[in-house]
Amino acid sequence: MTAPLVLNVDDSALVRGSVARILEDYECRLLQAGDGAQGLELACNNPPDLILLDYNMPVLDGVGMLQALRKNPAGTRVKVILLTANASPDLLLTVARLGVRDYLVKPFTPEALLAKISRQIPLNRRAES
Amino acid sequence: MMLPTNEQLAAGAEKAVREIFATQFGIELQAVPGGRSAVGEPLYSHVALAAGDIRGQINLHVGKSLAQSLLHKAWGPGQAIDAAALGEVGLELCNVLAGRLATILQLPSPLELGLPQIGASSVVELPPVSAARLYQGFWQQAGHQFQARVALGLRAA
Repeated sequence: MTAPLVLNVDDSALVRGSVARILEDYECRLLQAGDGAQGLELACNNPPDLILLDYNMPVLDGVGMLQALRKNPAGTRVKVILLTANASPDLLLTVARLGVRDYLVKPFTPEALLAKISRQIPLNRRAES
Repeated sequence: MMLPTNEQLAAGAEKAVREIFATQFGIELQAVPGGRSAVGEPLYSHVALAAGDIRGQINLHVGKSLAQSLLHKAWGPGQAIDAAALGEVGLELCNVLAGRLATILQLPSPLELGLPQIGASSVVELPPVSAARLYQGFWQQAGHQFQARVALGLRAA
């Protein structure tokens, strides 16, 4: 069985590195993008099983990426978790309407992120080598 | 619309800073009452926020050694850290602090955060506002320095 593909879209190298470290012990393939435009391209070319999506990004923000993704046949049903510093109810309602499955407000612990991800895709620890 | 008082702003900012460092990095910062602006190689960053009629700016100084320490904690040891990565630490902290502070202070929705920017100084510049609340705090952890300045005001009519 192929390991699930996770796409993390965040303009912060700090966060991208954190997510990579959190997931390194788990059986999944991780793609990273630094803004919504890059994320959209990756998601359309190689639809992931789950997208971890930041909101506040240059070039194309998380909502803009989601809107474009949902219009693309490859992205209509992709699962998305929003990782955001902005917990504004208006934003959360907007992304819920765009089919976002869950959200996690920054700052978050590794345990909180893993719990959210494992509710969306199978997440198994890598076998000890 | 009510602006938080200076005391509420200070309490909210200190709570937000402590929570962010503890949750994201497992670090307990120590407040330095009456601290002074850091010297050495300062990394300044700032972000603008808008919530209803409230306008604000957060300006951070993250000491270089603190930025390195945070990256090591986030990425794990052995990862290459360059100048761009050090600067990005402050940008992400600005973003997260703005969001957390808005939640703690129950600022009105929608909350709009600008894209954090790297700056050349610690000066906080607000757009025209009719009242202003200011907060400045200094922290350290194992000799690493961190400084936050927060300004909030009501949008001028």
